[in-house]
Amino acid sequence: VNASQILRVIDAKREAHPELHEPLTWNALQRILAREGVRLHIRRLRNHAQLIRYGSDFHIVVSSELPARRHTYAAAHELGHLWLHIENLPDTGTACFHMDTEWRADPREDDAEYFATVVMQYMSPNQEE
Amino acid sequence: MTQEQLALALGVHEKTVSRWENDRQPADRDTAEQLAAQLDVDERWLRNGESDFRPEVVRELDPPAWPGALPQRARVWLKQFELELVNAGATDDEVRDARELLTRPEVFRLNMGGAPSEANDEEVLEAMDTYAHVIRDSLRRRGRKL
Repeated sequence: VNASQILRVIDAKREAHPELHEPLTWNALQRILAREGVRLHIRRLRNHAQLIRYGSDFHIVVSSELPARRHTYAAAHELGHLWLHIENLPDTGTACFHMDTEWRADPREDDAEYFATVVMQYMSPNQEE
Repeated sequence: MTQEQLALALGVHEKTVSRWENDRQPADRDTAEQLAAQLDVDERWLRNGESDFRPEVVRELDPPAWPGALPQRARVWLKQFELELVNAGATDDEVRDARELLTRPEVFRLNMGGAPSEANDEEVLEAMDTYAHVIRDSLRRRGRKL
C-alpha cells in the first residue's frame, strides 16, 4: 500500500466517520471503533497493541503499560491494519491477525505507522489528553 | 530426531541447534545444507521459507493448533477454558476458533518472543488471559452466559 492509497482510504472513511476531519482523539477513536463494531480493550500486553480476530469479530488490545497519551496512536495503528490490510481481503475463514508496532520487517507496519501519523497529525499532547 | 541427535550428526553443540530452531541464530550456508540433508527437507525452504516445499511436520505444527506444544499448565488451562465456553453455550465453531486463536504460533511469537517450548508458564498464561478476555467479550455480545 503506498502513501497516496492510504490517504485515499482515510478520505473514503471520512464520510462514515467525520471525526477523521480533525486530529484523532481517544474519544473520537472510540466512537469510530464502536461504529465499525471493533472492540477496544486495555490490557497487559508484551507489545504496544494488537489487532485480534476472533471468528468474525475484531478486537484492538492496547497495552495498559503504555502511557495514556500513547493509547490513541497505538490503537490508530491497529485500525490502520484493519482498514488497509484486512478489510478488503477475501474471507479468511477462522484466521486471526496479530499486528504490533515492533515488527519492523513487515512493510504493513510502515503502512499502519503512516496511517496513524496522518489521522493524528497536528495533535498536541494536551489535545490528546 | 532430537536436538541432541541432530547436534551429534552435525558436530555442533545442542544449544546451537536450539538457537537455530528458535530463530535466534541462523545456520551458515554449509551447515544449512548439511542440516537440510539430515532433515530431508529443501535447503532454500529451511533457510528462508522461499520454496513450495512443505514438510509433513510443518503442516502438523501450522495452524489450526498445536496445543501439544504448550506447557503443561497452559494445556490444563486451555481445557478448563474450553469447558467454560461449552458450559456457557458456545457452539463447536466458537470453541474451535477460541482454541485456534489461543494456540497459534503468532501468539507465542508476539507475546513471548519465541516458541511455546521457550516460554515459561507464567508468560504463556498471561498472554492466554488477554486472548481469553477478548474471546469472552465476543461471546458475551453473542449472548453466551460468560
